[in-house]
Amino acid sequence: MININDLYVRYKTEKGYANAVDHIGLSIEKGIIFGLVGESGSGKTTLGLTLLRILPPSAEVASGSIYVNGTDILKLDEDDMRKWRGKRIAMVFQGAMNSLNPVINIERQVAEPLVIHEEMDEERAIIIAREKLAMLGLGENVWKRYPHELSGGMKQRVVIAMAIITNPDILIADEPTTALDVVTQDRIMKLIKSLQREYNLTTILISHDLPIVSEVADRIAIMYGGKICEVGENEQIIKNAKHPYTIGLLSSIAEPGSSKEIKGIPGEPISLINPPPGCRFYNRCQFASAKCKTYAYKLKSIEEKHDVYCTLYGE
Amino acid sequence: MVNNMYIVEAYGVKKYFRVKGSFLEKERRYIKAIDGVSIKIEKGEIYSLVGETGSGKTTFGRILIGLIEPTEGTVKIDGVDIFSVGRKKMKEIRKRVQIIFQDPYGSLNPRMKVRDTVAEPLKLNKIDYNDEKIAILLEEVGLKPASDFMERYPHQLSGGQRQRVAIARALSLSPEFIVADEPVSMLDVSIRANFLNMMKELNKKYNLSMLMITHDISVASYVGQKLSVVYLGKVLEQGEKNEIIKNPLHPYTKALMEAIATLGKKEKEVHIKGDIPNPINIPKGCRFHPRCPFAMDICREIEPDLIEISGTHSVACHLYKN
Amino acid sequence: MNIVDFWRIFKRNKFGVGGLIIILIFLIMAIFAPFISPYNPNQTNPNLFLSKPSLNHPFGTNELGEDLLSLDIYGSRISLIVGFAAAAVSVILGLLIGIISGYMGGLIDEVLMRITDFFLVIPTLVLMIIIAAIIGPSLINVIFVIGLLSWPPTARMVRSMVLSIKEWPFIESAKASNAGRLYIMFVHVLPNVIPIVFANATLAIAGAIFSQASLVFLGVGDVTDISWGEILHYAVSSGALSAGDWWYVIPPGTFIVLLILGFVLLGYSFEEILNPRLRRV
Repeated sequence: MININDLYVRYKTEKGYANAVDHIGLSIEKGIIFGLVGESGSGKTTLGLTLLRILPPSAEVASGSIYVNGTDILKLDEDDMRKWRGKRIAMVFQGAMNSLNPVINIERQVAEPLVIHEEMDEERAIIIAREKLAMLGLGENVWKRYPHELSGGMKQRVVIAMAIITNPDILIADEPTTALDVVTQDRIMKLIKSLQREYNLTTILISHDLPIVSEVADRIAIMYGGKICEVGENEQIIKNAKHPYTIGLLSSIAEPGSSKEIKGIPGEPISLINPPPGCRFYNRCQFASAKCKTYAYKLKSIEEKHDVYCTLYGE
Repeated sequence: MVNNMYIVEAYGVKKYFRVKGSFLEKERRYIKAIDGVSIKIEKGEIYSLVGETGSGKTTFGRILIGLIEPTEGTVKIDGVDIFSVGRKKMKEIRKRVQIIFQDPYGSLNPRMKVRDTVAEPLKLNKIDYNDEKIAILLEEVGLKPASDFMERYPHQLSGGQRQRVAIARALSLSPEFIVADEPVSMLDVSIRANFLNMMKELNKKYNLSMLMITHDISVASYVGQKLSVVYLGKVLEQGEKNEIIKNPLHPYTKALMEAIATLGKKEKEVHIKGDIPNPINIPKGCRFHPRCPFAMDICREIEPDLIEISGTHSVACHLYKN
Repeated sequence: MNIVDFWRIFKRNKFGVGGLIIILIFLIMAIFAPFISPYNPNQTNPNLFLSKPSLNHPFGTNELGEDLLSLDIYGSRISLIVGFAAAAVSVILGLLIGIISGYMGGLIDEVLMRITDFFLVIPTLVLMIIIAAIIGPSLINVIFVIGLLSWPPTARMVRSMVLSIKEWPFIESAKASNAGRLYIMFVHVLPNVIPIVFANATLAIAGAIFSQASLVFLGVGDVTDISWGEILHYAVSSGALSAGDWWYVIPPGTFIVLLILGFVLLGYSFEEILNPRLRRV
């Protein structure tokens, strides 16, 4: 349903170009929860913004295509893109709960996308907004409240209600649970899962938190330094990870009750600006060899539906 | 000096913040950030304080090292009641306890070089030092070679590196106790492990006691030996880490353990209702009762005391009566 | 941000570079005045009473026969001296009051802020005139009067910056290491406030230049020192203005505007550079 081909998105900075999304390709089937996992500086947020074409002015899509149901949305002009953005593809941003308008009450804010995108009159839109809010566990006592009266978890649900009210085909959630407490995180994830089940909503879940993503995602892609390292079905990534970075990431996760020593990954993430040729993970990889320096990121299929980009599995 | 087994003792510590109300309000309203917490940390021990937002854990950490004065209660550092000694004695005590913060981007003065930041405590306390000593500190926390880092400014360092500088600075006075307030929550996952391992090493090498404040039980379970679970300013469960994690007694602790995300697809059931209430309106009786699936009538009326179930496990819950 | 990075970004800022060039031109004018000006500005010549511009005197002469071009060139000195000096007084006062008020809080903050409000509300020019008239119109007095009455905006701005800086963890870190309040204010808070004050300081210079010109023009400043305001003052009092002698009035007026513009552009560019959100990539 979503086909990303050779996408190259970069930011102009004073020191040169930062290659945030460095010639990557991905396929996302309809109706699945697709987890995009990476740490800071991996480029995952940029990928999300590109899908909605809301990149900041300093960023440019240098090449590549993104086909959604047969249409290359990168080639649409802005007027056509507006028919997609917020309507057929919706996004919940990092920290979105803090960008709710403090002077407009909840039901009106949730109704707003309908008023704007479907030119519905506000009264009807509010009725639908109330339905959606109730569905997300926010009842009558919340509808006329203002954002500052709600807890973080409730605000996040309001934001999700706003995103899904137009019944989009695709929902992009960028760090939807950061800064929320554990119980609320669990609830939001359950909410996303139920949206998938009820509406067959294709969800792209962007996060640095692999455990949280792995509890709900059907497929997981791991990103590092603007590149995809590995992509596969949930179990394949969690139980049969092949890329050294994925393996390193898995070994860094502390699970309560387990006395296993957690190992991190030595070194620091590289800068996206003028990256060295070859594998981006080279200087932190325990399996690195000379051929990694000239690696051209050719895809290697480990098993069906499981791809890895690493010299360990063939050039 | 009495040979004390405990480096830090807190008894009945309370901290209430007055809420600026309107002129017409009759009753003064308070945010009861800490509402009676007692903890004893042994020398050489890592003690974890687990709590979420609004639990008061951050305020508590600061009280333990004398940065904030409690509304009630006593805090003893190596047997000395720190809030009843004079300023001079307080300055002496401050040299033995230090703190590192959550935010690597605000913990260091952006206009000071790494060398000056790390050396500052020594300068302030009129202790002699030289560049070599600073270099040793930097290498101790994994910033090798130290010469690479001495002249840098914070904006030239990554988040993980900044946190290490913060620790090097905290170590400069050779403290006996460090409060680490969410030290890794803003660091990337792959960097966290190294950092936590380093803290464990420092603890072993120098018998350095620590209070690890975190919202993440996984972090608490990895480093600490003892654990306290805090909710809205009170300790709900406390004791030996492994015991609590394997056998959580308090419904809140159980819910936290159920809610934690672990690797792999799963359906989870978390037995807890509602959201964390605003600390201004702490529920009557057991402060957890509105969210507790096992709440009984007594829970709505009477606040349960922290009772010892075993030598290594205490819980504050009416479900457990001796 | 260090000097090298700053310069690199500054070079590309058209406003900043433009402003800097203007200021440099006037600085050169001021420093090399004796070499640039065709005549000794105090050289009088009664035969040339208010003469029109000519080859000998491109800007004409004043009522004493002094060459106006030379006067205009020398006038840059006082403007620049007073501009920098008065701004320095005002910025230093603003910094001190802002930091103390913001960091100490409580009663000190209340008292200082009420005083600041007082000065913000009173029309400063009027107050300047009154005070200058009382204490006498010497150059030093003018500098102090302008400086002493223009610190409030800086103080307010510094205070609000300090209010947010003092919540940062590194301040608590210093307290935990036994740092005293004065130490924290001047070793930790001050260096972090100074970059922001830069832009403000540049605009303070512009303001000071204008205030000085106004004071002297109104006859309150020292009218024996050569300055553009003084030239304008005599342009009016000698009847040249009413006679329509534009060459007397336009050059000093234009120079005042240009010099102020230079500082404003510079200050604007500083604001853009030091506040990354305003920066256009």
